[in-house]
Amino acid sequence: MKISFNWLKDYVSIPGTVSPQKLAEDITMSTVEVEDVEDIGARFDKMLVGYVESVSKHPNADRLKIASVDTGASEKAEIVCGGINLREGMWVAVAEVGAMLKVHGQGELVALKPAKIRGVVSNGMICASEEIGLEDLFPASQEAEIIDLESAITADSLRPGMPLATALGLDDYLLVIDNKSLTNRPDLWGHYGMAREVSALYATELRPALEKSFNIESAADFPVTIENTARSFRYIGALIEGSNPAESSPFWMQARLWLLEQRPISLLVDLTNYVLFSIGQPMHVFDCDKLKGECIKVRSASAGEKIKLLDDQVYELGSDDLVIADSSNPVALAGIMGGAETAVTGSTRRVLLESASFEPIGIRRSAARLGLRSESSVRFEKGIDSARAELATHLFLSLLKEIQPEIKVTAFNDCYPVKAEEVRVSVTRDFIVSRSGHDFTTDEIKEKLSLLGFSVNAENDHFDIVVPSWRATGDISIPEDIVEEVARLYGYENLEFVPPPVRLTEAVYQPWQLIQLKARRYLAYSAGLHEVNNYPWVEESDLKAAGIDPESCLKLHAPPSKTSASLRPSLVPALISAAQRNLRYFKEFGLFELGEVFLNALEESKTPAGEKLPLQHRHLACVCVAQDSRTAYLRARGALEGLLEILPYKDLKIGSTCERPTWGVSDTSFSVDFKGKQIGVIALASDLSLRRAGIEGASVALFELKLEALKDAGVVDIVTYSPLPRFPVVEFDFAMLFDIKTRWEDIKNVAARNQKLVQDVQFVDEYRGKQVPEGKKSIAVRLILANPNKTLTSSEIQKTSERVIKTLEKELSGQMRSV
Amino acid sequence: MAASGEKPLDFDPTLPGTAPRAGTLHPITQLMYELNNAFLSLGFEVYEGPEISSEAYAFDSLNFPADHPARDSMDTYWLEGAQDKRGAERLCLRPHLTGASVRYMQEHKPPFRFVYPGRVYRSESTDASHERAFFQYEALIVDQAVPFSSGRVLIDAILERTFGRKVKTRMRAGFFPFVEPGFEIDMQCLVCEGKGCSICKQVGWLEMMPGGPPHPNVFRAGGIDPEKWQGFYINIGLDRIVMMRHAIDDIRLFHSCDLRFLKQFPGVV
Repeated sequence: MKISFNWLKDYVSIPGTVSPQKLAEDITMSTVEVEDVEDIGARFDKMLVGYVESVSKHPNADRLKIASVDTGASEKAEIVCGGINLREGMWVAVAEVGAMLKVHGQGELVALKPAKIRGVVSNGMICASEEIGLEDLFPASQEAEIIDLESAITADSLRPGMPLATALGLDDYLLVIDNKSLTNRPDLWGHYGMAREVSALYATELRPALEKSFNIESAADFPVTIENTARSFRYIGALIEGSNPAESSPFWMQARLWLLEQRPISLLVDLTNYVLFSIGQPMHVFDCDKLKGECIKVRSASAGEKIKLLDDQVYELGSDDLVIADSSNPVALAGIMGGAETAVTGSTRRVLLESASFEPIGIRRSAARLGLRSESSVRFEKGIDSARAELATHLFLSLLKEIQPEIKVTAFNDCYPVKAEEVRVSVTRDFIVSRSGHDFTTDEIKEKLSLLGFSVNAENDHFDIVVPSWRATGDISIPEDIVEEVARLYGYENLEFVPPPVRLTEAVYQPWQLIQLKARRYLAYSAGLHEVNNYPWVEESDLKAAGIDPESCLKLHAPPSKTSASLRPSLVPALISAAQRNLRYFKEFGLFELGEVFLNALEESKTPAGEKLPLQHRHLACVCVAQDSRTAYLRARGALEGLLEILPYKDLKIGSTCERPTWGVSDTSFSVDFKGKQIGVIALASDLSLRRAGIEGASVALFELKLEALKDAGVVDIVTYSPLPRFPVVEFDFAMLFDIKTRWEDIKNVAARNQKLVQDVQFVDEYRGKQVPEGKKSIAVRLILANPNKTLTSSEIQKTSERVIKTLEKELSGQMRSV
Repeated sequence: MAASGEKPLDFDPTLPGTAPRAGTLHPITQLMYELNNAFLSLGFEVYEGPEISSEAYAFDSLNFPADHPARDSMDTYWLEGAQDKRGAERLCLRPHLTGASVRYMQEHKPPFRFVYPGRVYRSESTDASHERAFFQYEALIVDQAVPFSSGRVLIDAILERTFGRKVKTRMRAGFFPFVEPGFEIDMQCLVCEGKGCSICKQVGWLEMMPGGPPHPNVFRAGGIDPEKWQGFYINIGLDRIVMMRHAIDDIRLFHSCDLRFLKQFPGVV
C-alpha cells in the first residue's frame, strides 16, 4: 500500500522537522514497515509551467513551429514544437535540458539534451503527456497533441516558471508499506487510519475525516434486507438523484488517485476510490434504474448462479459466496466486485450508493476461490469495523455535493442488524511493567493509550480500557495487546533493556548432537570432503538414476515443479546429481551431506496432539569421484573407516559383503553394522546409474549411513588402554602371488589366525602387470611380530613367518615370490 | 644462492605442499555452530524438531487463525493426501521452526531456555534473494521474570560473540501471530556500516530477527500457564546473515552443491 505524504497532512499536523524519510523511519520503528519512500516530485525535475507568448513558422519544416515561451526567466525561451494544438496564449509543460522523459512516449527515460532541430536551436521541449508519464491525467485525443494545462487547472493558479509538479499537485512523496506487515491492522488501510497513527506518534492534532455529517433527513426508505446476517453486519444504501454521471472528477482528486496508480474514470467511480483510499472503506455505486424491483438483498448465492462482474468475466457462484442482489438476480459479489449489468454509465439518472460491512473470512474464501482480489476484498478480508460504513457514506455524499451541489438523496436505509460489541480489556500497571521491562508510570500508560484512541479509566494502577471500534476487529483483545500498544508508542528503542536472568552453568551438547558435530568435522577437515545441502524434494530423474521408484516416495501436493514431487528416501540420488554437475569443473572431489530422509511409513504417535508423522531419519552420505574406480572407492572407504574410528561406539564397523544397493556394484557392496544390525552401505556406483545420471569418464563411490540409529545409542564407549609393548617389535615382509580375485580381507584373516606372536598383518602394496602371470597379482604383506613377555628369538620369527606363509599357500593358493 | 657451507638444494621449495588439505563445512553449518557455542555458553540447550510436521504444530498451536493465508498451499508445502484433512493429520514441510518449541514445552517444565536450528520451507518463486528452503535459528527462553526487551540484550550479546565485535541493532514493532507483543530486531549492515549498499538494499539495516513473548494461546498449547511464566522467542535468519557476512549475492547458491562456491569457505568450527 502507498501513502501520500501530502494527503496525510490533510488530516494530521506533521512537525516541520519531520521529513518524509524521517516519518517513514518512525512509522517503521513503531507501527509497520515502510519499505521505500518515492519522491514523485523528482520525476518532474527540470519541468516548468510555460506560457506561450507567440507562435511562428519553422523556416525549414512545415510541421514544426517555433514557440516563444515565458518560463519565468528574464528572456523568453524559443522552443521548436510539433504539437498540433500549440497556440498563442496556451499554458504548457516545458521540459528543460536534463529533464528525464520518454521520447515519443517510447522506451526508457532519457535525459533531454540540447538540440538543434532542422537548423533551429530549441531551448527545451514542450511536452506531450505520454512523454512525461501523464497520459492518464491528460489523455491525448490525437497524435502529436501537447499538454494543455488549462484543461485541468484554472489559469489564475498558474504562473510562468512554476515547477510543473507544484502546479499539478504532484510535489509529493509516497510511503511504500509492506502489505504483509499490515495484515493485523485493518485500520491502517487508508490515509486517515495512518494519519491517526502519526498523530499518536507525534502527539499532534488529528483533524476529523469529515467536519459535518451530510443531511439525509427528508429521504424516503430504500428497501434493503440482510438475509445472511452471519456474513453481513451492516448495509447502508443511499439513492442519489440529480448527479451528472458524465462529469469527470476534479483534477486534484484525479491527481491523488493517479499517485496511487488508479486511473481516473468518472466522478462517481473516482469518488468511491477516493473514499476507499482516504478512510479505507470500499464502496460501490449501482445504476438504480437497472436494479429489478428497486431493492437490495444481501444473501448467499444459490449454487450455480452466475454473474458477470466489472472485469467482464462471468463467474459461477457457490452457496458459500455472498452476493448483493436485486429482487431477482445477484448484482454484485459482496465486498469483492460489482456486477457489469448494473454498473453506472454516462446515461445513469439515479445512483444507488452502497457502504457496507461484511464478515472477513467469508470474503477471503470467495476471493481466493474465484481468484479475484480487489482493493475492496483485501480490505474486507482483514475486517473493517461497521462504524466506518456510516462515515464513508457521509464523506462520499459531502464530497459529491461540493462538486455537484444539485444532488439529492431521495431514499436511504441504514440496515444494521448486527451491532458490533464493545471490546474491553483490563490490565494492571504491574503487568505492563513486568512484560515490557520498563517502569512506565500510570500517566504515561494513560497518555499513550489515549493518543491511540483508547478510552482509559485508571484507578490504583488498574486500567479499564475500551478499545476503539477501528481496533476492535480482533486486533486488540488481551492485556498483552495493551503492553504492545504502550511499548511501541513509547518506542521499543527507548525501553530500559534488562538482561535476561543469568544461568551460571554452560549447557552442553547431547551425545547425539556431538556425534553429528564430530562426523562433520572429521569428514570436512580430515577426509577433505565438502559439505553440501540438497533440497528435501528430489528430481524424478535423479531417483531413477539411483534405481529408486518415485512411486514409492512420499509426495508433495503442490511441488516446486512437476518432476520434483518426491521427498527423498535417501541422500544418494541428489549426491550423484551433484557429482555430475561438479564434474564440469573438477575431476576428483568428495561431497557429503547430513540431512533428513523421509519414508513412506507412519511412526507411532508420540505427541499430545496425536499426530502421526512419516518416519524421518537423519542420514549421512558421501560421494567420492575420481578418474578410476579404485581411487574413487578407496577414498570413500577411507572416509568411512576414518569416520567409524572417531565415532565412540565399539560395535560400529564395516561388515561383510551385502546385498547391493539399487545404485551399486555387487562385489563392492559392504554393510555398515551397528550392534550387528546393518545401518549403512558402501558401494561403487554402477555403470547403469552413472549413465542415467549423465556421468561419463569418471568413477563414483558412495556410502550412506542411517545416522539416526545412533541417536539413542546412549552412553559412548570409553576406550580401554592397551599397555605399550615392553619388548621389541619386529617387522617381517614378504610378497606372494595370489589369484586376482583373492581379497585382502581374507589374506589378513588367514594370516593372523591362531598365531599368538602375530600382532598385526599390514598391507604394503599390490602389483599387477607384466612381472606376474596373467590372472595373478602380487601382494606385499608385513607381519608385526612381538611377544609380550620376552624378546623374540630369530628362530621364533622364522618359524612363525613360515607357518603364516604355509597357511596362505594352503588355504588361499598363495605362491611365494622370490624377492 | 646457497650460503657458504650449505649444499645446493635438490628440490624446488616453491612447489605446492603435499599435506592433505581440509575440505569445507557448509557456510551455514559454520554459522550454526558458532551460534550454538554462543548460546550454549549462556545455558541454552540445543533441541530439534521434525521437518515434516502437522498443521497442529505448524499452525493450530501457534495461534494462527483458521483462515490464515499461510495455511494455503500457495505458501506452505503440504503433503499429498493432506488436502481434505485437518490438524494432526494434515502434514507439511515445516514452514518455520516455532512448532518445535511447542513440542519442547510439552516435554519440559519451565524454567528453560533452548535453541532449535533447522531448515524450513515456503512455497514461493525463487530469485537471488528468495529461496524455497532456508535455514533458521530460533531460541526460546521461559522464566519467571523475563521482559521481552531482554531479547535485545540477548541478541546483542550473541551477535558480539559471533562476529567478534559490537554489532549495532535496533528493535522495532512487528507482528507475528504466535507472539504478543511482537518485535523485529534489525542489524546494521556490516558491509556498509549502515550507509546503504546493495547487500542491504540501500537501507543500512537488515531485518533478521523477529521475536516476542509467546502468545498466551501458544503457552497454553505448550501446557504452560501464561499467568505464571513469561519469556520470549528470537528467530535468526541464517541465510541472510551468512550472505551479509561474505557478501554473497545469490541465496540459491546455498543449495547449489557447487564446489566453486563451497570451497571459498574454509572456516573451522
